[in-house]
Amino acid sequence: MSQREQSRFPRLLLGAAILFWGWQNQALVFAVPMAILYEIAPSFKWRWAFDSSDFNRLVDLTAVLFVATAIYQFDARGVHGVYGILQWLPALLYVLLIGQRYSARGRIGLGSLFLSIRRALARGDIAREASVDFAFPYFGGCLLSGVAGTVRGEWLTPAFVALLVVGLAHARGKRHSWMMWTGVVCFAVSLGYAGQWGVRTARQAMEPLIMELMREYMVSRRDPFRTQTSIGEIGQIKTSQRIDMRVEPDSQGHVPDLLTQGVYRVYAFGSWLIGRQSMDVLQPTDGGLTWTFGPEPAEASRRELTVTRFLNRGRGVLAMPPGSWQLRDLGVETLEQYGYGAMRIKRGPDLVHYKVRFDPTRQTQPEPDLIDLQLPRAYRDTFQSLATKLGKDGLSERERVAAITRHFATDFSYSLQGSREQDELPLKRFLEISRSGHCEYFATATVLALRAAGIPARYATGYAVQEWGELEKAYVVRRRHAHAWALAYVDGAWEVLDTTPASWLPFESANPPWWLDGYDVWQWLSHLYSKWRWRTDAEDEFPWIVLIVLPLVVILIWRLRGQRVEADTDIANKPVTHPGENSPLLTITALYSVRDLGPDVTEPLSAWYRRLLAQGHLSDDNELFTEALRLHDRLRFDPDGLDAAQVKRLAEICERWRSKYLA
Amino acid sequence: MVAVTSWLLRLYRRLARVERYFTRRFTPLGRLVLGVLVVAALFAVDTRRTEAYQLFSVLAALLLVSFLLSMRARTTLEFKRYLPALATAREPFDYVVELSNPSHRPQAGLWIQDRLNTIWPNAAALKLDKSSRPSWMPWFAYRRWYRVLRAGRGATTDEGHEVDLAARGRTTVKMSAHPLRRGYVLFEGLDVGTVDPLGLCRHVRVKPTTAALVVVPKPWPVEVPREGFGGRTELGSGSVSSGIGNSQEFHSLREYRYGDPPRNIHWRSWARRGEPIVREFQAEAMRRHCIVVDHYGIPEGDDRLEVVIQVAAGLVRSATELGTTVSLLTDAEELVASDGGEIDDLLVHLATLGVADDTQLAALDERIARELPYMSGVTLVLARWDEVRHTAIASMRRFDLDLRVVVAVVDEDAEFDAGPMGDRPSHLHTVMVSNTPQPLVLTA
Repeated sequence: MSQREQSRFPRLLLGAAILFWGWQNQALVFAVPMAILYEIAPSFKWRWAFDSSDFNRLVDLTAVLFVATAIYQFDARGVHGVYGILQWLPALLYVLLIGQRYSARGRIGLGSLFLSIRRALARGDIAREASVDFAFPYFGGCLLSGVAGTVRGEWLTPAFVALLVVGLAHARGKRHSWMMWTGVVCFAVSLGYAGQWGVRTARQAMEPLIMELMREYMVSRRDPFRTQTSIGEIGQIKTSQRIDMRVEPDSQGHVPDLLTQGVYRVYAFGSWLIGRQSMDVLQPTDGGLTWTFGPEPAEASRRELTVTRFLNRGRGVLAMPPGSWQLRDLGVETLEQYGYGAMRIKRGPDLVHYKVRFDPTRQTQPEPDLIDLQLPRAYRDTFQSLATKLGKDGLSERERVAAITRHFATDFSYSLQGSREQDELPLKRFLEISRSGHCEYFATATVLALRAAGIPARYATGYAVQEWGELEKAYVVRRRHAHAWALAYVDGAWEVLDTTPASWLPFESANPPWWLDGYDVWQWLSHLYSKWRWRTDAEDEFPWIVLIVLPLVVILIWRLRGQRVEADTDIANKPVTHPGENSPLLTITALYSVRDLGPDVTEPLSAWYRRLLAQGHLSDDNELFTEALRLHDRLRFDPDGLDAAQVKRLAEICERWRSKYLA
Repeated sequence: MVAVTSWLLRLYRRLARVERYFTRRFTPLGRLVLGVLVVAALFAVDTRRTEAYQLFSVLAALLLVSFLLSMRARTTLEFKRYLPALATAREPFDYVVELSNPSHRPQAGLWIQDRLNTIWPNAAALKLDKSSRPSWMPWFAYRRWYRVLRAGRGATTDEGHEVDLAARGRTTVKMSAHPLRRGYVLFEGLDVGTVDPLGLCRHVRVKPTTAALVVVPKPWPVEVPREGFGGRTELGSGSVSSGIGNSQEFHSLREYRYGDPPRNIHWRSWARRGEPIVREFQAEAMRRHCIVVDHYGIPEGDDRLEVVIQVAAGLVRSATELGTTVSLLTDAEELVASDGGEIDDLLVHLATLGVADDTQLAALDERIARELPYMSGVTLVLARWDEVRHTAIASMRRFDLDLRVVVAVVDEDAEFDAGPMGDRPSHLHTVMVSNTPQPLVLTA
């Protein structure tokens, strides 16, 4: 392509697009000279005589720049580096654009842009190299980079719409009038504006659902046996509507308020650690379904709950009511009990449905030791001064506990703030500045305040049982019901001390997402299916698979019914018909066969006809008889066959043939 | 494995249909908008980080409106395609499409593109494709499949042309095509599109009209001796002269060619016409140089077959240019000969030549013997150099014939044994199978 091709891109439009990019990315200092250099090109009469190899070098240079920028951006901003690359895209591709603009060729061959085509050209596999006007994709790149910029503002949309409209006006076909074009553009742009509102609204509506699904995925992959919990972990799942458990109350309709999952003793670097503790592998009785791990209490204090919960890949930690001593109907392979009460299933089904027996008056926590009085060094002064302020000296244990409870009940409020904040000392901020947070802050601060006041304390996590599910006719425990509280050793016994304002449940239940009802129905159906799938008495049940197979069998029988009728008609004795067997030409061949001149079994009629001609059995009417052969073939092989006129014509020719040569 | 291959081939067919749909349904500008829309959609997911959703919704609205407006369009158009008699493989050619508008409404901004017959490649066709190394990734296999598809069509046509037609007007459009291989190229219709007001989408309808074009092989660059191929001093059944034009029976007058003996110059005609004219004798007029094309037992898709055919085409063209009458000997029942310098029949024969049964090789010397009275010499263009062919050549050499052999070789460095041509190495030539043909020079 030695001749210069005139670019079809409208004058000044690309310069304006470059300025748009520079404006939105605060890069006008680069964009202005870039735009000027591009747009003044027609003022110069000279051009570089670039050939394919020169463009190859320009593309290679651009690729190196692109890769270097990508490495830098991903290194500096992680996965968000992709936005950085997008923002600088016009600058990265500018070398290529200006190379095209000032080249005599005016376009870039695809061989320069794609290595595969470059290699194919070198091999000679492609004879003609296609080319592209790079200004067009570059314009698209400028628009994309512009909308990824940081300035934004109300003029963003009008600006890029103006650029698009100018471009479309330039490409307008001659088929339609300006008036029609203007009307269509106005309509489309209005629709675009409405679409923007729609996207924003849809996003606001869908974001919580998407976050919920992502969180569910992340939680499902988390190790269920973690020996620590960090401040903010519960806060992160406070908007999750996922139902983790269903709890059926006992015969009196009672359920405990809290189900304990883990008890932690050591607080360090913003995390609670379990610390060293004993572990027992429990042995089941009663055919492997009953697990007893405490003395049987008196009949009067016995209570029982029925719990159904999902396990992540058959593993998980059970949430237990205080004073549990036995689990029944729990069909798992391995169950471990830890010193501070945690019960872990190491191998089991994905859904467990069990009864837990407990005695609320029973103490299951081991006696306190020095660890239960330890304060982290960073917070020592803070909590010591808090304890002094609350008047730890001269008060009884119970009075000190009451003072701490009062303290958190008066000036503190519940909120989900702080769950994502990365403070160095989040509790100090909580106590002295924000005075607002969620249960982890209250529970941790309470535990440390109790310890500072000389009362042994532990940090407990689990679930609050509060919401009645009408579908299940049981209490549903959602993931957002995860809770943390303190255990205080007062007067020789462990007591639950929950200082989180009681408003936390109504607070979290307010403003439910629009999709919650549907999601709950879906969860209920999933629960029913899982319950059926993981039932323990499968052997005695109705074979449900029959319900699936039965309709299929009925359909099969229905379809076979028609075939049975066919079989009754005795196909074997039915004469077989072939298309074209009534062709009058076959009468002719039969007449020749009588004279030992008929076609051989393997001989096509055309070859047979040529043989007759060669042997002198036919003399003229060649065209006529060839037409007869052609019509006969169509009668035999053409799916549409012959129409009445053609059948008549074939009969006429054959009759003429017969009367002339076979009479 | 068969099921996977079948599934993949179905998938490729769908992909090709989608690709074709997008290239026809969207204008280049529409495709650009679509591309930007897809990228904007990726970034539009997070409406806090970028404002790409704004661009996305505007572009989506433009494309949607454009698409809806292009759903229906009225075009009344008649056309006639004027193709050349023959085209040459790998050499672009121009042709003309005449369009007329029978209606009273002007037809502005029409888009037309020729449509070629599509034969979807099957597994067997893919196996025959030797144009690239075996691919193991499906995507690359798709590109390879697509290459076979394009080769099956036989040619590529222009991206499309924009045409304006006045009411009851008529215009001609010069179009071009690029034949990819020899054989037939079937045109099955003309795509006629009308662009929507925004210029992003088209409404395309197919106007069916079939036409076939024969693409002849691209002749290999061959240099034949200026003085011709030489001749025999004796025929089996009578004596003729050894040089061109030595026979005693006068046949006609013709223009002088390099190598004609001066005694054949017809001085009176030279004086009358002002250019040298010689007498042509009957034996010369009847005698032909026979080119034997070796297409016997060559696997389909073997590059050597194509090279053999190209070399034969090159020989036909070069020899005819020097005034030699040539004929082709293939598996066809009769020899195909050039007629008065016209070589179209020969090239068409070569264009449609397929693979022949290798058992016919043994009978080749008999066919040569039958044609011997009409031959001035034989050039065998061979795809292989094996025992069967050695035997055939040894048998032919007993005819005291001016015999030349050209062999297509794949490996340039491989040792090449002259075999039965060992005593006449100057009449044994090789050509390398390659995309960039090296000239073949035949010596006198």
